[in-house]
Amino acid sequence: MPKLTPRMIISLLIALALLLLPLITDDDNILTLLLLTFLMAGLASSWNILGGYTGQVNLGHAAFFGIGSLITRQMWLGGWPFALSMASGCVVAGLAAAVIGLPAFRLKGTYFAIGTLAMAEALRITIGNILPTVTNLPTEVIRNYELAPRYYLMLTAVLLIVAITIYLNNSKLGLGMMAVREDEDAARAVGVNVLRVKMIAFVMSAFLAGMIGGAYAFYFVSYYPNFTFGPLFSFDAITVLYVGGVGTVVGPLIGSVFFVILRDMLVKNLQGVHQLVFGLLFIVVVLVLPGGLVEAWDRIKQYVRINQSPTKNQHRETKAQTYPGENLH
Amino acid sequence: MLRVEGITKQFGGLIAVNNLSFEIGKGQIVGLIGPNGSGKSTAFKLISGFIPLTNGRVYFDGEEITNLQSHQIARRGLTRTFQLVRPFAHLTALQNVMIGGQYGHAALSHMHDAKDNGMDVLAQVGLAEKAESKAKDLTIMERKWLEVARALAGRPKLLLLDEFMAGLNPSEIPQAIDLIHRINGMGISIIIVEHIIKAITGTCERVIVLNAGSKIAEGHPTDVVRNPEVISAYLGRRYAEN
Ligand SMILES: Nc1ncnc2c1ncn2[C@@H]1O[C@H](COP(=O)(O)OP(=O)(O)O)[C@@H](O)[C@H]1O
Ligand SMILES: [Mg+2]
Repeated sequence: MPKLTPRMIISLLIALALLLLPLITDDDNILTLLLLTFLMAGLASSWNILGGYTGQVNLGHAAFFGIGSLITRQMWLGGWPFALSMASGCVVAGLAAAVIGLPAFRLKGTYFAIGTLAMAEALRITIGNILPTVTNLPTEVIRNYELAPRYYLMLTAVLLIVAITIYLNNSKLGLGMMAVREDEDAARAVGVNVLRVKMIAFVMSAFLAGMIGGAYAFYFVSYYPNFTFGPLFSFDAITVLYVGGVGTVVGPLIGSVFFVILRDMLVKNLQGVHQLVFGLLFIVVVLVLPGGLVEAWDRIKQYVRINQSPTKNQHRETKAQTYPGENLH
Repeated sequence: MLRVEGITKQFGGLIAVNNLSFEIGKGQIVGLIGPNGSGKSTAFKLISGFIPLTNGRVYFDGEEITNLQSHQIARRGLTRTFQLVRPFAHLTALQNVMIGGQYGHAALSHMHDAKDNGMDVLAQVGLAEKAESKAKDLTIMERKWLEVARALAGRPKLLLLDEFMAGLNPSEIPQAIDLIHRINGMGISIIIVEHIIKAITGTCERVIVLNAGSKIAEGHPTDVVRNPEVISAYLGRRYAEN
């Protein structure tokens, strides 16, 4: 049993509070806002495994979110048990990544990013042609619709992804991924099978995005089947992650809270331009604060420590830590 | 241990390595020398599977490794370092060497084994205190030690060191040579690429001299430096004057 650090205690308290919240309140606005926060956190965290840890920028993450939601919804509406439908959604999303990964990883850097974006767009258009009509929850489900189970499903999915990223921080697999991100040739030289590590990361990332998609299919009452394949799901996930801190466990969580609150404010006050604001925000973060809010927080802590230190002049030299993501651009 | 048969690499019209053959026995330290651009690094890349051969075969530990991928070759215990060091910059020194231990020939699958092994190796190169420092925050010199430590952590049987001593200042050279002897003392064979011949005359029992991709001499360092072809083709006037 590892020792409990203050940070772990705070995390556990927050998780506990989130788990108990639906018992305390039945304010649907709060639960919905939190559910949407979990959605963004889940998308960003799952993207993080391939993008943040392994250094492969996938602009088509929405495809796997979309596949997860599509399979889950279709099977579920077709009469299969929900759990089996959702599990299938995850598996198909993971398999899709395995199929796409082999050719896609022959492309490097920008070409991989563009290739994945093109793949997702092609899927979105195809699904739009095959399934042009809105999908609705069955009437008996809508009649008894409750938000709490949706909230719990999304929360559980996010906690699972967070647990996986914590594991990656302290495991052979995670170190291998980071080695690939840092320098593929150096990784090869010490025995890392670069393609294999990328494939594992891609399949994990897609499987988990599919899981978030399944939770979405359970939650959302009515949408066009190709809606969940939309590029905004990829771009928003990436914005959330970079704002929070790419390649870290807490980055996507902090980023999603920030993002959802900001989006809520923008939609109310500056309707229509919120996408523009997010685009600009993303550029500013990448240029000025490549480690996101996590790095900002570290810098503040360092600043406070230096200024409180009795020997502060000696500490002046200490460089602010910069963040693993900075090499991704 | 290592047998190289007629390896050749052609880049367009340029033959960077031309029909090179040699053998390395277990526990040997051999130098591969030659002027800049003579094909030393290319030879390393061919042997370690980083670039495909135009021709030739490579055998390691009794098995042919000619067409294996670089990571497979590293796993079998043949590890190269880079002429320009390439640490995993945003990872700590300890994480760097742990990756070497986990993915290399040592194949340490448990985190705590990789950690213990990593700390041992860092101590061997004098970096124990820097275990938690990010590689990018180390000095150039420390990054060189880290590069070797990361390779060592995988417990290779044969280490290919590419210009490991280049850029060290004179006071650091003895430390580097001492490290090479200690590595060799663990039973690891070593091929050292250097273009400063003096750095390795005392260390290697045998040197191979390349010029324009071809082997022009091989033998004991003291004999090789007297070889007229080596003097004219490689060492030139500068060495003769010394
Ligand atoms: N990837 C490459 N493409 C074309 N030419 C190359 C490449 N790599 C090396 N060379 C050429 O091959 C020759 C040998 O280079 P190299 O092996 O790096 O020499 P050394 O390590 O002995 O200084 C040089 O002329 C170099 O310019
Ligand atoms: Mg060279």
